[in-house]
Amino acid sequence: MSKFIVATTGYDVSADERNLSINSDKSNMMIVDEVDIAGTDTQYTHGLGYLPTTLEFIKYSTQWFPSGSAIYNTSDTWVAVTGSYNEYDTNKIYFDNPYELDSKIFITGNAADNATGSGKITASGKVKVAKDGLNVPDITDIRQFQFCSGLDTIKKDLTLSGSTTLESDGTFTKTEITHNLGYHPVVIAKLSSNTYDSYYNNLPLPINMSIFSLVPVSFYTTTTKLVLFTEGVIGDFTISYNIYRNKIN
Amino acid sequence: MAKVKILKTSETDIDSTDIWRFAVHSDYPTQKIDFSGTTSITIPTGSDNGSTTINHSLGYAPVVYAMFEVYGSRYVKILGNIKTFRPDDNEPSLYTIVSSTTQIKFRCDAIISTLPAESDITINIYYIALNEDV
Repeated sequence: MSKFIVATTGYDVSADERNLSINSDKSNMMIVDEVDIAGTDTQYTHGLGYLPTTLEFIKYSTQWFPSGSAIYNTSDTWVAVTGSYNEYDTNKIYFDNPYELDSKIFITGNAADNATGSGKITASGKVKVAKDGLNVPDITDIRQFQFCSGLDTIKKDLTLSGSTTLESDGTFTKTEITHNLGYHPVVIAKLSSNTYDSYYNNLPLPINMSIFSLVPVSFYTTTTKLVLFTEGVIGDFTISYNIYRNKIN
Repeated sequence: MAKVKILKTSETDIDSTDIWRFAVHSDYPTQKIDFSGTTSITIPTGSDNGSTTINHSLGYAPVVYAMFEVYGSRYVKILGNIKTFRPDDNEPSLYTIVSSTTQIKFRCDAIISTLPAESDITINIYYIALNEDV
């Protein structure tokens, strides 16, 4: 079967999958909805009929944090535990948001278990790649496609992404990464390794390293910087981060 | 080098340097799914935690999207760890997900509860592993 592959600039089509922009053998994560949620909202109807996958962020003042993060202001002062998290069913998102912080949710049309159902009209665009055995003119459900040009993808910036170290003495410690994008980008980060407790190695952020008190490792974005921070533990923390060319705000 | 660019719906400037305006831009790799599936954690009778492991051969630690079952057919998305409730009787628990170069590990620990569990507790999980690492 013929293939449709777009290599990322600087690579060729035989490159590792991590360096390809499109590969018709793989299902792209495709965003069907970007939702701005007011802090007082209690639920949102996504209406997909299945569990979607999402990226979730919460806003405090001019900062955006990953959902579930402890909140510190730009003066490095703790302002909220948050504890916020969202629950999903096949029709709605339910918000547990005690501090009533605004949030942004990117909803992809990819089913959480990558199930290939049908019945929804979610595909769009003029360039479409159907999954094996399906014909583009016959289908409309995003779960049946590898790629649809009418839907945004999640685009990693290989230059801005990287890793850094936090050296913490137990007080609030932060490391700032300058991105200068002029907007708040989507970020995914993880604690690659640390000298405090290896249980937390390879754990994505945000983390609360104590289940009984506030001991966070997390991050927030401004329009110019990614700020990685921790408080309450002593040790060296290596944090890897991906910065994406997708705009939270 | 030639570039492949596809603008997002309603965007019009193909020469824009604002990459967020593009659905696809060949200067940037995109998130793609390598494998996915369902699994579950069992907290055995008499224990206060449970875990399950998925082996993989990617050679790098993939980004993973996972949804853990809580109560009443509701799920929570897990990034890092999160305190929420198990499906049995709303006992608060800590869910974690760890992705390494060979394994993805899902875990649930009780925080404050009547545990050890009086009977086996099963927590269903959906997951998607990407062709992308952090």
